[in-house]
Formats: sequence, structure tokens, C-alpha cells
Amino acid sequence: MTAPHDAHRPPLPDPLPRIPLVWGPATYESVTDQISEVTEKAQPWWWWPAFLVTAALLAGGVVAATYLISTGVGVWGSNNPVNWAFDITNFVFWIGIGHAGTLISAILFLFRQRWRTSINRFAEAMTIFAVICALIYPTMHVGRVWYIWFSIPLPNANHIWQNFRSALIWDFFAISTYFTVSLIFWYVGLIPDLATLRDRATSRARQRVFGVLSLGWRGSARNWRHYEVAYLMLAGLSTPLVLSVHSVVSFDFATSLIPGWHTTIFPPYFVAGAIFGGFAMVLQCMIPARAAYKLDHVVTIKHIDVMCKFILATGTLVGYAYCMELFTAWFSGNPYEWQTFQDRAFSGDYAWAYWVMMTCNLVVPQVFWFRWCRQTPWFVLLVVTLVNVGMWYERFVIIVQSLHHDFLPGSWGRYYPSWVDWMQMVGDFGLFFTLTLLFIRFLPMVSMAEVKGVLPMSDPHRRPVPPDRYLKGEDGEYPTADHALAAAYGPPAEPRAEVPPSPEPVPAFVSTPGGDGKPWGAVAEFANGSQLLAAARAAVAAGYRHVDAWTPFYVHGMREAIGRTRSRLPLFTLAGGLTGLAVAAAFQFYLMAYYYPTIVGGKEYRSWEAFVPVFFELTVLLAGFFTLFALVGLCGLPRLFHPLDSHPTFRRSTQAGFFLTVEAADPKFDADGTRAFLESLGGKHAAVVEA
Amino acid sequence: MTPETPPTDPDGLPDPVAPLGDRLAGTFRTLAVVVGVSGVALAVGAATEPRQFFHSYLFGYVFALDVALGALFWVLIHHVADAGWSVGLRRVFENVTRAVLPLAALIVPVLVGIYTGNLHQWYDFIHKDPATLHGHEAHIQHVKHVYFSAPFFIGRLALYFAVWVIYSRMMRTWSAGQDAVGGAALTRKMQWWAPSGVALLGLTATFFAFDLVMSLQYTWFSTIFGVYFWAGGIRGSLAAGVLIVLALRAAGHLRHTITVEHLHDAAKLMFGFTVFWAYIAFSQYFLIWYGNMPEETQFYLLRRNGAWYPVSMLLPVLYFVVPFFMLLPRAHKRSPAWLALISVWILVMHAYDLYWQVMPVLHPDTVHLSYLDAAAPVCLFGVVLLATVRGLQRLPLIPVRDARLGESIGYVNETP
Repeated sequence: MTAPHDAHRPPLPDPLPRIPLVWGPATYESVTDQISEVTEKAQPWWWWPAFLVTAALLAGGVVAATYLISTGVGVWGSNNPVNWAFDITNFVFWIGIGHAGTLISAILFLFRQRWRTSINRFAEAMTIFAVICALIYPTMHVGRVWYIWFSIPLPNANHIWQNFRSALIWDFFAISTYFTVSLIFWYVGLIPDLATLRDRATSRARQRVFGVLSLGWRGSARNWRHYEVAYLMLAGLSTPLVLSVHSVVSFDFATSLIPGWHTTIFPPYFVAGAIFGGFAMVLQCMIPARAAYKLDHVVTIKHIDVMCKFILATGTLVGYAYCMELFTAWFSGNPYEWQTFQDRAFSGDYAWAYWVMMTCNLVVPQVFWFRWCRQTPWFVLLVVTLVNVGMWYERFVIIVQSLHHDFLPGSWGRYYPSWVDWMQMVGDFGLFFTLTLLFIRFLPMVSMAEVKGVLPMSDPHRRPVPPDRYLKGEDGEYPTADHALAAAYGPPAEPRAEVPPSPEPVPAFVSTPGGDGKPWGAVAEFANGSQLLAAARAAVAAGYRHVDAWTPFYVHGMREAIGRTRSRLPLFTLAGGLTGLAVAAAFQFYLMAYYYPTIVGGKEYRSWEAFVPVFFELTVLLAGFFTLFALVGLCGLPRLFHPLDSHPTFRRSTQAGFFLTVEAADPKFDADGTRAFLESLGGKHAAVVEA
Repeated sequence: MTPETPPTDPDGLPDPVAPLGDRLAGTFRTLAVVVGVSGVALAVGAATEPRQFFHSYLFGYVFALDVALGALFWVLIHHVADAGWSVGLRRVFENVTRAVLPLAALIVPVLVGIYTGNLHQWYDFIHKDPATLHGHEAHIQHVKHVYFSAPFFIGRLALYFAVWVIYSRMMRTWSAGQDAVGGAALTRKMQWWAPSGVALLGLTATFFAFDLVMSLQYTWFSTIFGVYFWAGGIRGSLAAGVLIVLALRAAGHLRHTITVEHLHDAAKLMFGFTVFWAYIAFSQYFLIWYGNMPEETQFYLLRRNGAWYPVSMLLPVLYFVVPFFMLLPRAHKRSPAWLALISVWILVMHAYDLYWQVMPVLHPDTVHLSYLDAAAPVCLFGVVLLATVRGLQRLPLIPVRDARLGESIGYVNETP
């Protein structure tokens, strides 16, 4: 899609060719097969032993939790003055882990970092599992877990509502919104791949389960038109959401006056740390999975390289925040701050933990300035393990060290974790890895639809390069070592030129079960995306109006080719956002200033500042719901049955097939004529389908 | 490497991109006159009302420097990200960073202001007799005495400027060198150096903000203040860069090279940094408001006095809410007219933000508008524009042989 005047310009030199995101001769079929078969074939030998280990750890956590619930939170080591310890450390740790998933899926999407397509599914799944792990702690911390519903904004006895000026209720809103919107985002991303699994299913059960889960997605261009915009809207919502969540978690500490907690850099510092730790956990899980399932041409060494650079950047940002805190503690001349930081870094009982944190988070990631360190998987695995340790210790230092020495030396004390603390913590890791193993087993761990979209063969502007010049500069050399690495996998496959034969003969009129004898429309299969694009344009140019294209991924330009305008879905998102904002404003002001006015922290009844977190979270939550419902509604889903399902090759539309249809509703439609027209455009297996 | 006389442009560019040379001589002269006249006004002010002059000068200086440093950020981040679409825009930012060296010299009046006791109050405080101070104050004086001692203070300012001048020169020299030789080697060199540049720029800009802006109230402190300074500068310089591009396009240059597709992306970044600024500004305000400790609230208390109260209240509305909604519709992001309006708005509001940070120290009870408050930013921002125009006169308008230029020319936004 270049501007008209581009046609007669010679191409500019390309001395530094872009390395493709997927290496070697991958095709739509090979990607589909490789990813889907993980969930379809028997599990590899290591899966059951790994699962049994993680499930055993999880069972230990369940035992500890049961003991805690039946006895009381006193079985934890938390006590005065260290009232928050392992519980909140683990809570913040897991919430942080989740942030990489949203960063990869949403923020990198907005920045068009298309390498994310290989890892976003995995990272998003980890987000959801990490949030589940995190939620255990506030729930347990209530002590009487059956009162956890008190955190839901409902009036309890005497019509007392929650205190909306408390950081803890903001947490409730932030994390439940985060969980919900992340789940929506993940699910929306999964829909095309669930449809692929449905269409590959060999058993009735799988077909039904994935049929229902995929809502009857068939990859119609009219649906992709809404889908792509909905995905953009969800990415746009998730981006500030991910910043808000760890900011709100940081408010749990920073709104207090505890030295070491109350400092203005906490929100962005927590967010940077969360992304840092989250990337480390993604690599921790992805490197073994990549090796076990031979995904090294999809999750290439270059992906690992780039993620290591993110770890370096965010680790350095976290180090910057540590230094700002330390500097300001000194520069402010505030004796309490300075005492806390001297204790934390030099003289205190937990100085060792501080230096574990400093070493693992600031010093160790600096090895990623070196290419070898970024591109040697076992070494990366070692470093990210240290990063995970460091990020756990960061929360431990912030929480335990700040609390154990507060303003009054008379109330100082130390913290000793109990066996219940340890067992719950280990059990949480068990839960996380158990869920991850189940996910790998049952759902496609790489987003097939998105990866197909970034295969070299999907790029309509690709200039053909002779194989011996592949990835070389003008001087015939590889510009970087990375180019040589990628070239060693071989040049990319060309799009196929022929439509593969049908497993069974395609009749001119395909009857559907329970059909009414009238035609639904005409359908034909094309060899590749470019041919389909040309055919769709030709059909529209020939005067057809009810044209639709069915593709395994979103083919750029298809929306315009079938004569459609940009989706109006953003209006629904905006409406949802404004509704959420209005609801949040109304109930917070009404409850806190009129219905049951309470003074908290010396703030005025009507002061708006403390209501901002909930304003924001409800805005995003309802905008996310409206987007999901608008997507489902505008696409006419769920649609579990479709006349096209009866066409013998149509199931390929979610795997590697490209189909064009003209519906009978079109004024120009004429059963035999339209079918012949589609064949004249190069369509194969052309047929008229019964409605 | 002779950047002043570049060879002919490669074939295949959609627009002529030769240096504008004498065609901008008139613009350069006009700008020079504006800078000269406002400079004379500043000189008059320096003689008649020195305290007002030094504060206005600091405000104008930080405004200009912030834009120049933001431009350096955009140049560096382009290389860090190995970006392709923004190659054409990068030259504009490279040209803006030419202002770093003149601005290094122009810091002298700020130092004069400090060391004549007309600007930062810590100067008096650290020279007080410790015997006249009470317990805690004496401790604070000791800390500030160490941090603001003249050799350390001036030495580190010199260090900041050394970093900025060296990195901006390196990037400009290599980029201009590539105009002549092409190839991937210089691109890789710039990509190799850029990450350390971003890290050092972040650190030095933070301490610059601490030293010259935050320390206007020397007992006040905020760990996020450096990030707040970045957020404003990055956003302000993006607005300035977009305005320069729009001016070039209005004059008939680069119309097919930097198209509405590139502007759309720049506008998306502007939107993102609008939200980012609000996030940082709110984080700082909110935690201080919630904590309600006198040593921290002094910053906002001062800005709630008298006429400063409406100024403070309008800041988030005018600098966040209004540009947020102006930038929200896709059609606005793709309209040069809207973008011009929004960029001017953001740049003016960036000045407003800095004015709000600097001036209440001088006039704690009321907003006192002086002609110097206009003369200083006009003069110093004029210097930035002079440096930029000089770059446009001498170098091709885009990096003509950049390794990624092919990606930038004819680039189409793939946002659905």
C-alpha cells in the first residue's frame, strides 16, 4: 500500500536488512501444526513428573492455608512491629510478576514491537496465574476468610461502607480490574486460536468444547475489522491499567508516613520493578519451554536477546530509584529517613538483604550489556533466577526492614518467618507452575494467528531476495552476527501458489443439514493472502457489495478491499469508560460526603484526590467490558453453526486457507454466475452453499 | 567527512532534501533580531530589577534547555529502539540538540544570580553561622553545605554539560557522516553508543533538576522530581519537533517524506507522554497530599497562596485534560492543523508548568507578571531555534543515507 508516486521511484539501499521475527522456512501450516500438536498429542515424558512435583508443592500450600484458616493468622511469623512480612512480600512479588505479561501484550503492541507475537500468549497467561497467586495473600490476611466479602463495595452492618480513602480498597479495585481486563485481553487474543483447535479437532468432545469457547469464530474479514480495533482498544486500556496497578500497590506503602515507605518515586519505581521481575519470570518459564518444544525458530535467540535488554533497562531504572531514595534520605536532612537508610544499607539487621537486592537487581543485570550474556540461554536462565530472587528481596527489604525499626527505638523488633509462612510461599510457586503446566498442555502457548501475521510470507511489500543474498548487506557480508544466526535457519518460505486439493470432491451446490434449499452464497478458496486481496478488490470492483473474506489471520488491507470502513467500536469503549467514571464519581462522593460522611486522615469530605484511583479503575473496567461486549455483538457472535461449515475445505480458514464469499443477499448475486465469477478470479473448490 | 558540503542525494527520495542554506537566511536574521531585542530587554531588567531578572532568566533557561535535552532523548531513543519510521524526524531533533553548546555558555547568568545571592536561597543558608541555627536546622545546613559547596556544585554542572555536549555532538557527527558514506557501520555505531547516552542523560537531567529547580525551596525534596522533569522535557521537545516539521511542510519541504503517517505516530507519542506527565505529576502531588507532612507540603502550600491557587488548579486541566481530549480522536492526530494547535498548546503549557515551578519562590503571595517573564523564554528559546535553523541550513533535511531510511519513506501506519 504505497503512495502512487512511489511506483516509479527506485528502491533505497537496504544495508541493514531487518531480521525476520520467525526464522527459517516456517509456513502457515507448519506453525499451526507445531503449536496445535502440543495440545493434541500425548504429553512429553517430563510433563507428568514436573506436574507431580508442582502439584505436591501446591498441596503443601493448601495444607498450610487450611491450618491457617482453622487456627488464625497468628500462625504466621508476622507480629508487632513487623505486621506485614512474607504475606505482603509475596503479594507484591506476584502482582509484579504479572506486569510483564501486560507490558508484552499491550505496551509493546502499541509500540508496534511485533516480536511480541511469539511470547505474548505465554506472558499473558502468566499474568493471570500470577494475579491468582497474589490474591491468596490479602484473602488469607483477613484472618477470617469468610469475611473477605467485606472488601466488596457493599454495605455491611449499620450501613457502613468501605473507606474509599484507604489504599486497601483501591487495591481491591485495582487488582480486580487488572485481573478482569487481563482475562478479557487474553481471551480475546485466544479466540482465533481456539477456533483453529476446533477446526482441527478429531474428537467430538474437543470440537464442542473449543467450538463453544471460540464463540464460533471463523476469521471473517468483517469480524477481523472489529477484532483488530477491539484489540487496540484493550491494549490502550491495559497500558495505563498496568501502570495504575503497581502504583496503587505502591500506595499501600507510600501513603503512610513510615520512613522508607513514604516517598514520591514509589509509583513509577514499583512499575519498573514489576516489569523487571516479570520479564525475568517470563524468561524463566519460556527458556525451558522453548527447548522442550523445539520452538527456537519462533521464540528465537533474538527474542531472548531483546528481553534481556528490557531486563537491563528496567533493572537500571530500579537501581536509579534505589539511588534516588538513598540520595534523598541524605539530602532531605530528615533524621528518620536517614536513620532508616543507614540501617537498611549499612548497620541494620537486614543490611545483607539490602545488598542481595542491590546485587541481584542493579549489578547482575549489567552483564546484559554483553551480547554473549544475552544470547546464551543457560546463562540467561541463571541471571533471571537471580533477578527473581532480587525482586523478592526488594519487597522483603521495603516491608520488613522499614517496619522493624520505626520512629521509636522502644518498639523495635525483628521478624522470624514460621513454617506456615515458608510452606505457603512454596505452595504459591507450586500453584503458579501447576497452572503454567496445565496451560502449556491444554491451550496454544504461542499465538498462532498473530505469528502467522508476522511470517515473512505475510508481508505484501517484501522484495524478493536471492537465497545467497538473504540477510546480507550490499557488500555481500552479514551486517551483524545476528543476521548470520538467522540466516543459518535458511531463507523464509514463499507463499504457496496453488490451492491444495480437497480431501473430498466439492459439489457445485453444497447442501447443509437442515438447509432450506435456497443459496446462502458462493464461496471459493484462494492460494494465499495476496491473491485473496486481489480477488476481493476485483469482486468489489465488479459491483458486488456483500463480499467477505475468511482468513487465518488479519490480512492488512482486507477491510478496505471488501469495501468496509473502520469499525466504530471505539465509541463503545468510550461510552463504557465514561459510564465507569460517572459511576465511580457518583458512588464515592455520595457515600463518603453525604450518605455516611467520615473524616479519614484529616481530609475533607469532598476532597477528590483520594477518589482518583477508583475513578480510574472503574473507567477502565467498564470500558473493557463494553469493548468485549461490543466485539461479540458487532461480530454477531456467538455463532456456533454456519452454512459454510458444510463446505469440504472451509475448515482451513482458521489454519492456512483463504476464502472469498459473496452472499445471496447481494443484488448482483446469481448462483451459477457468481460461482463462475469467483473461479474466474482464480478461486478453487468454488461452490454455492445452501442457507 | 564533510557535513557542510554533502554529496548529491541518493535517487529514490520523494522530495528534495538539500540543505536550505541561503533560503533560510531571512528566517535566521529575523530570529536573530528577536533574540537580540529580547536580550536587550533582559539586560535592562538585569540592571533595574536583578531578582526578577534572575528568576525570569532561570525560568526561560530551563524551558529552553528542557527542549534541547528532550530532543537529545528522542535522538538517542531512536537508536536504542532501532526504529525505522522516525528516521526523517530524527534530523529535526538532531538539529535542535545543536542548542546544547550555546546553552552551556548561557548558564553563566544563572550562576551569577546564585552567587550574588539573587536566586537560590540555599546560598544564604549555607553561609549562615551554624551557631545561630537550632539543632535540626544545623544538621540540614551541614548536609546542604556539603551538597551545594561551590566546587562540587559547579563541577557537577560542568559534568552534566560535558555529557550532553559529547553525546549530542557524537550523534550529530556520525549522522552527518552517514549522509556522505551511507552503509550500516555508522548506524551500528550510533546504536552501540545510544543506550549509555540515555542512561547518562537520565541521571544528569535528574540532578540538573534537583540542583537548579527543586533546590529553589532548598528544604523541600521529592524523589520523583527528576522523572517529572524528564516527563515535561520529553513532551515539550516532541511538541517543538512536530512544530518545526509542520513549519517545514508549510514552507513546501518534506511533504512526501514526513507524511501524515509519521505525524500520526508522533501524535500518538504525544498522547502517551501527556498521560505519562499526568501520572508522574499526580503521583508526586498525591503522595505529598496524603502524607501531609510540613517539610513536603511546603511546595504545594506555596503554590496555593493567593493568585497562585487558580494557577495551580488550572495546571492539570490545561496541561492534561485539554490536550488529552484534543489528542484522543484519530482524526485530530492525522490533521496537521490540529497538531499545530496541540503542539503550540503543549509547548506553551510546558512553559506554564515551569513558570509555576520557579516563580512562586520570588513572588510568594501573588502572581506578578513581568515583561522579563516573556523576554527570557523568547530569547532563550530563540537561541534553540537559531541553532536549529543553522542545522537546516547546513545539513540535508533528513539523514539521506541512513540504513533505515527506506523504512521511513512511504511508511504506512498499520494501526487498524
